[in-house]
Amino acid sequence: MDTLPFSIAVDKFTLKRYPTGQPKEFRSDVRLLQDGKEVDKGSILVNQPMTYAGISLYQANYDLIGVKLVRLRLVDAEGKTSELVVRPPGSTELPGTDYTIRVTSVDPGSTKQGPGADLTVSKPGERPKRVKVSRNDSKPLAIGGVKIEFLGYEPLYATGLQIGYDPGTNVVWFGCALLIAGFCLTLFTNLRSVTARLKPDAEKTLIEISGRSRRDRAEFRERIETEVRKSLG
Amino acid sequence: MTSLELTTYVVFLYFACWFGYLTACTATPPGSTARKTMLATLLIVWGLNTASIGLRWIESHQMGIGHAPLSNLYESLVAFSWSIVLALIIVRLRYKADIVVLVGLPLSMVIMAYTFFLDQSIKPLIPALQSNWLTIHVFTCFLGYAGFAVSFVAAALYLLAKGFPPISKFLPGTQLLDEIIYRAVLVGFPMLTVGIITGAAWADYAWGSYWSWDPKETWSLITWLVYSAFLHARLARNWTGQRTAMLSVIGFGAVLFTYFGVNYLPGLHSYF
Repeated sequence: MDTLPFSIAVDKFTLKRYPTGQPKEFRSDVRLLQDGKEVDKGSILVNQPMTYAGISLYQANYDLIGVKLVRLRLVDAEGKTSELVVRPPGSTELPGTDYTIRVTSVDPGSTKQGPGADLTVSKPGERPKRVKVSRNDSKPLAIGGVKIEFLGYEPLYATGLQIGYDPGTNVVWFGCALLIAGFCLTLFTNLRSVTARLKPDAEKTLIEISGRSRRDRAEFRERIETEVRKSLG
Repeated sequence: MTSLELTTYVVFLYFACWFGYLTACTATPPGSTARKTMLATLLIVWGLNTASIGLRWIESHQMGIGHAPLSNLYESLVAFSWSIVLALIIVRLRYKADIVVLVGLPLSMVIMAYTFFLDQSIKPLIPALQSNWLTIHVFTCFLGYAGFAVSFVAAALYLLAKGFPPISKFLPGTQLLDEIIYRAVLVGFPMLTVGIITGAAWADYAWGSYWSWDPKETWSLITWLVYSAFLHARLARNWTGQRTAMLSVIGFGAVLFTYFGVNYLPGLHSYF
């Protein structure tokens, strides 16, 4: 199979974490499209693949590819607070001033300052300024009389899905079952047989006793010998 | 009582049990009431061990992150020593070989004591482990490991008896030891096989590939090959005694490396 018979639209990727910061869930909500029509939809999680027409889709990895938005808290000269959302790469007006504000980059928290953002602040007739706001800033940044604090950001992820097509799975499981059955046969069973042959020998009768055993032959021979001796008294 | 407290008591009770068993074995002849009482006591302590594992399972559900206590090194070590004691008790009941319990039990005690140095808190499962396959895969592997551990104990005793004849009068007959070495592998081998197959089934279900040659997979294959060689030599070539005892020791070395050694190598099993 060279190409997928359907296309995949990823509507949403979510990464949930436990309070300890450990990942809890990686989930991709997808729709499968064939000739532009939706044929299936659902969620793909680690340990919970999605299968359509014999083709399985696995949650394989994810990547941080950018920032959806940055949230800032503004405190104006009168002490009124408001929230400002800046979506890269666009710029947003800083209310109450002539400034516009743009996100240059986001630091997810590599320094003691905690997560933060590099901003470019510009105003007509002035050279753009680059400033940095972080969650743990001791003194808030002030632009044109407005104090700016960093609240947080929403990351933009890419999801990595793995495609699998293996129509032979059942054959493999059948082979595994055969393997286990074969073990039980060879390890826990043993075919043994004892043959006694009577031969006339002048006045007497000669008794020939022979045994067959697939394994533990020495032990089998010993057992036959002791049994025979016992029965002869 | 929390499961951690119970587990701590169990470790000390195992130690007391071992000491009592040792006293009973030195002071009284085989089959004495004292020896039987100590075996019954060991069975009860093992029951407490089982209860502590069950309690930890319940506690994880109460925390809202319920999963079988087989998800990290601490939990797997407790399961390992639990399964070793189970195997020792079975061997004692079947072959009446007290010495195998006396020599094997310290193995369990050392493993349990080592867990005191590890992080013992109940942790939520990372997404890769959130599957019912985890329980069956780890459980069958550990039953296999327990069989190999008992085989190793009998093999060590066998080699000791052969190497230092004066000691052999304290040991059961080499014939019996040879039988235990073989029977324990006979049980352990299919268990390891099922453990590897369930691992492959899980990998195929979760990642779409049966086998990825990560260090633990590779070493479990090496272990499997050593014990297949053991069984093949024994069944098809009639190897017994010293040679199969050596193979059992080598095999257990491979088990230990599969279990602990590969923790220092990166791979899919690195959370253990």
